[in-house]
Amino acid sequence: MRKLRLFSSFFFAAVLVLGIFPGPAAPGPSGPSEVQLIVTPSNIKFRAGPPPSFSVCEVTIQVLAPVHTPWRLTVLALGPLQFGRSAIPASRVTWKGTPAPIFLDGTLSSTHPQLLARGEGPKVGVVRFLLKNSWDLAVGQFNQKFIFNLSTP
Amino acid sequence: MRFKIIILVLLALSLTFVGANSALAVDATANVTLSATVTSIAELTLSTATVSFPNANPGTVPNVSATENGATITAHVRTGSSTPASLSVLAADDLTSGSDVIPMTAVSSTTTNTSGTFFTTGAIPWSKTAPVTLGGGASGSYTGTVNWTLANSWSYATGNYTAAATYTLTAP
Repeated sequence: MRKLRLFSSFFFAAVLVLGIFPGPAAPGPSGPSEVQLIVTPSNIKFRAGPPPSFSVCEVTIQVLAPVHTPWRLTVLALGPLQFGRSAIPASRVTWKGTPAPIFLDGTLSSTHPQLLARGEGPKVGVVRFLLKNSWDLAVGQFNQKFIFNLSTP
Repeated sequence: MRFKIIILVLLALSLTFVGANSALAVDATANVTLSATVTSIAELTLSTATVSFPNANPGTVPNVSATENGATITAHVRTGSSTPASLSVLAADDLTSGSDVIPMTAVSSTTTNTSGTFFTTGAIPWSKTAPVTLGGGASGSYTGTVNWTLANSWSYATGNYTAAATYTLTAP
């Protein structure tokens, strides 16, 4: 009986501790610790002109995070730009991010997420993607998806 | 003893709970679809716009080399993977001097590939009736050296002969 009382006391104490000191909130649709990533437009188009020019298109990136909350933003291509059996390697696409040093310059990869920006709190930046035109590109309408991933520790 | 074990298990569970919550990363993702339109395009450069053959004795010089021999030809082409580009030349007419005529088939050109493989090697006679293919291939940048030759003949009337010809690089 004494043991049962002790066990109950500990159980309630444990519940109380867990209730009073919960961990950070998991991602959800709402809440003060929520971060949001808005990238616009969701479709961007290169129009390749005569080499050696660059084709340029840009996106605006908006990070909504609580003040002083650090975050990292990476980008990953899901593969090379594809048109039938023709492909343009993702590494042909580079980008220039502004404002520095929050938004970085880089080269796209389809194998490893590349760091695109890092900062704290809410930030807005513009990323200009560049495709270097080359005579050895095959003709076609190439497509690929990029995934932007925002993470906070 | 059993009670201690239960307490330890509960403690471990509670610590695991707290630890797991503390390690959670808050993630957000966004997808962007990128498209790139790559169209056919071709650029052709010839280092000379005129080709002239000097006077020569047919007995000793049966084939007259052009003064501009060794000219550089550059073909930049971007085309579909199943539709190779092609280079051709077509003369507007025979070589004429007043009413005198040297048939265009007496003129031939030889192109040597110096960067890439695009130009057809060997002497190729020209024509005024149909484009003569001088090379072809896939997307890329190509450079070659061009030599022109006029088949000499005792039968030619003296005169200053001229004709125009057009090189065409096509990227379907």
